[in-house]
Amino acid sequence: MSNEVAVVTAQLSKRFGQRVAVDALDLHIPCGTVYGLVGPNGAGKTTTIGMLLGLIAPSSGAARIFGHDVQRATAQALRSVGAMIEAPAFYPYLSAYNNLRVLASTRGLTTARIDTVLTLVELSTRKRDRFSTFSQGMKQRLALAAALLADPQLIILDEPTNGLDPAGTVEMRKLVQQLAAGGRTIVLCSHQLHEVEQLCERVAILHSGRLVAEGRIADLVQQRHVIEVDVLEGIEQAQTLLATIAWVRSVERDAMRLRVYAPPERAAEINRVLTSAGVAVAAIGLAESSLESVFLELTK
Amino acid sequence: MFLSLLRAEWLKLRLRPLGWLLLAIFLVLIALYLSLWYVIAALHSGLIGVGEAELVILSDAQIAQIERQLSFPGIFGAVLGQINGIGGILAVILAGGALGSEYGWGTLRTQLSHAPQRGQLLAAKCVALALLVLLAMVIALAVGSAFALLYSTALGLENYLTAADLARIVLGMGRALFILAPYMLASLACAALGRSVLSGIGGGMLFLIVDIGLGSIDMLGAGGEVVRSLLNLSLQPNINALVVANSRSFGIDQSVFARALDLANLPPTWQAVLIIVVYCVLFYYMAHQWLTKRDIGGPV
Repeated sequence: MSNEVAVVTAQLSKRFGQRVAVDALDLHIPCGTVYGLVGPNGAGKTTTIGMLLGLIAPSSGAARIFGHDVQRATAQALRSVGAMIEAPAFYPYLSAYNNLRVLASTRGLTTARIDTVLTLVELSTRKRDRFSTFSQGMKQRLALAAALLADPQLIILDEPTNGLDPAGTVEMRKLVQQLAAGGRTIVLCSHQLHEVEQLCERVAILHSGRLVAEGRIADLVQQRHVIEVDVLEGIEQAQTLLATIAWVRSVERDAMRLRVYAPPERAAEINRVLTSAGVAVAAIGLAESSLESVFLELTK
Repeated sequence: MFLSLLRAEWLKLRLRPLGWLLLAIFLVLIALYLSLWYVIAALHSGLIGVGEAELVILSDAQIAQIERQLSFPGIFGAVLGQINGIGGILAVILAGGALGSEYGWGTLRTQLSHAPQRGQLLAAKCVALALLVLLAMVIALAVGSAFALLYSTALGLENYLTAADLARIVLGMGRALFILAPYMLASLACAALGRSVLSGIGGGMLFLIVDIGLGSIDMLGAGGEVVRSLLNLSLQPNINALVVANSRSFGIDQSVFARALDLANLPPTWQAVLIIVVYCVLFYYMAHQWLTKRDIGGPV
């Protein structure tokens, strides 16, 4: 087992007919990190998770978990992996306890940990109740319990707070933080960007099956600061001028304000370029950036 | 690992209400069937009066056969015959439901994320289904025996049971299970192909109907020797050969009810075994391919 990298994907791709769901994805997820996998609907997040879990065969490329190829050595690769995939899926006629018994037997485990994980997700008082009688929140918690059954080193959580009420969401986040504090690697797939920002150290942003950004969230946000320029006169000229500069990624206009996507340390240079071109600049400053603004910029 | 998977599959099947519901239906039908035979035998012997009228429904030879089916050891042949009759339909429902609902509930995805050996999972499911069918046979034979004790005493029939008969019960159960196997495997293959309960049960039933239809053409003796040779490659005549062999081992001769069930008109035992094995291998291979080679979950 590698001590450095939990998950590596190399040019991992999946096509469904003509549609490319995941396109040459390269990921390196270090051990012990909480890693966010974000993207709009249809970005390829769940397909990626399906390939990591050996449920979906890649069209090309490879995925390795703790050094084991998922396609060639699936059992070894998934030995230390627990996953919570999309909607919780269990046998409706079985109790929470018996559902976990099925999964424990499937893994060749004893029933010893079932009570531990049920207590961890606060379902021990309902363990004899059938799954079909559970609320959405309880179903989600049972899915998390199932993911933790084998005491895995890598936990993959696909939309863990989906359908939870605010209190349940807070509880789930606390649990994720608790698990991360124990040194486990967590891959968190979520639409809730503030949740990802709150829980994850690193993030990969997928768009139309491609990786559009990857790295530490703080770095991504830092790199994607927006310089806002309020112009008194000559805004068209200013926009045209800034758009020609190599290190300016893009320029957006909002009335008499320009939003310039460029490194924050270039603000003074922008001011100099505009004033020397005769543009009347009223104010210039850095706008507050967040994972959400980075995400929206990269996936628009 | 296989034993762990078998434990999981057994737990799911044992606790699923569908299996017990199907068994209850079968036991009711067995009770009705034996009670009907009892009424006919009682009417014939005058135990139940019909006034001055003489009721001649069946020949003496046929009545003798019915009486054998209502006493020991013939009752075992009668119950095993029903297991391979109406029981076949119920077994198709059981098998189609066992795999099809895993797709419908999404539990296959959950389970495979814990144990990715899909081939072993299929094998464990087949063995668990066989064990459940054997358990159902034991219960059905016990219920049939209770009815036989009751009715044979009422009719004043002679009962005997030797150690050889008990050994024949074990052989008969094995033969009955072997006869059900191709239909159950066809149902599993259809469930894996269509990824649903509907396709599993629907496909299994369709195959059963077509096969019985082909068997009926064969029984009617239509089409000459060439057509008959071809029809003997279908399952039904070969299954009939083993069903008749099972009945004969308990002293029951079905040919007094239907001449086509005379062993002389049916394929030899070696051919019957060979054809059934070929169908079993074919359906198992199809189920295996469709379960192991295709994505679980698909595009999301």
